[in-house]
Amino acid sequence: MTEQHDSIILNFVVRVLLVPFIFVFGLYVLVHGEASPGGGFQAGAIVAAGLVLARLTAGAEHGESRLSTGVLVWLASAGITIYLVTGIVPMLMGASYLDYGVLPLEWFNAVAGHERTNRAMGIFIVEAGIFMGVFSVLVIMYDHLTQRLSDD
Amino acid sequence: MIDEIAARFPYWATAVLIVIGLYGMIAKRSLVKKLIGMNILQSAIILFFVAGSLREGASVPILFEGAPGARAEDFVNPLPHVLMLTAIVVGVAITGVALAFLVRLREEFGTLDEESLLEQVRR
Amino acid sequence: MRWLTAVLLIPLAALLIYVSGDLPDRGDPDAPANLHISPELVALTERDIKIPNLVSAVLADVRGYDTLGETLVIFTAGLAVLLVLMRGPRRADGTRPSANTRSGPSARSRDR
Repeated sequence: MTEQHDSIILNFVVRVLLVPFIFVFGLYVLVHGEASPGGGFQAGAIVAAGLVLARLTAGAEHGESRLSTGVLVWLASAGITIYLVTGIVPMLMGASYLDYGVLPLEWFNAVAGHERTNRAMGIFIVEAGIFMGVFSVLVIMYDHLTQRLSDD
Repeated sequence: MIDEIAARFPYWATAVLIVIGLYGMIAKRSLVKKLIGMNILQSAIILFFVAGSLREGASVPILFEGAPGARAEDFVNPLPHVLMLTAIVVGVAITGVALAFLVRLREEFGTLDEESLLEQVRR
Repeated sequence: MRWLTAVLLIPLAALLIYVSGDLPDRGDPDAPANLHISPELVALTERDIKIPNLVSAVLADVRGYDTLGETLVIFTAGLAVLLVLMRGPRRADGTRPSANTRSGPSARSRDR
């Protein structure tokens, strides 16, 4: 099921044309999640689909060497931790849990040169955490299910 | 008649999908097919919520630039969309865990047929 | 079994279609579900959050706890898949069937 395919056309189309486009589109969906339909869940699903497509053609062994289960577990944990810490920081500032309004992010407007409320930036940080979690978990599930099945 | 159908067809589709999903979960012997039935049932629920969020003449839930004083009647209800967004992803997670259990079951018993699984467990 | 299931489920379908007559019309602006909280969400997004996407605003801010729970559910599901599939029967040469445990935490647990 996950062996490498030799077709040069398939490899070219998938690895040069499709997968980079899917990754860029997924990141676009993530960072434009505030202004257009999108967000962490959708972007995670899209990028995970791109990686699964790469693994389907390049073979599981090759794909595994690029992004192993250990790395993915760390990535998912980092996503959850980002979310939890974003919730705890407002508590330290004296507000309630997950109240992004008091996040100390005013300096970021001057650096990036735009006007955003603290809540909008808190939402983006949280969406990035969700993205990491969803992406890693979907790829972990695909890896383990297919590897176990193809070993039969 | 046409108006009645147009006003009701999401509910009818929901009912049909619920029944198809329940039939798959009850009558099919293969556990994989039961899982597919569960997913169809979940799709029915998602369809019901999204259809319930619709407003006649409303737009997508995006506030457009330079339109202060947005009225709620101009946008579809965002709350069911949020609920179903998370429900879809959680449904994927449920499916993944269920498939993992099925893989282990097949390794352990060599079959995914309900009857023969029950037979082996009783023995 | 199949006949019994069909006999039980066809009345259920008929019942669901029958009670759909009491539900609000599709796209009805005055449906109870559309009147209650949607105006508050739009006003809140416009006043406090100031991002265009209502769904993102509700998802990550207004219902932040809910989304935190969902994310934890997904994370737990990933860990469950790992734990269920990593403890398999050993082969004759002592390796596990899953070749997926090469590095990181999974490789360490394989050696136990």
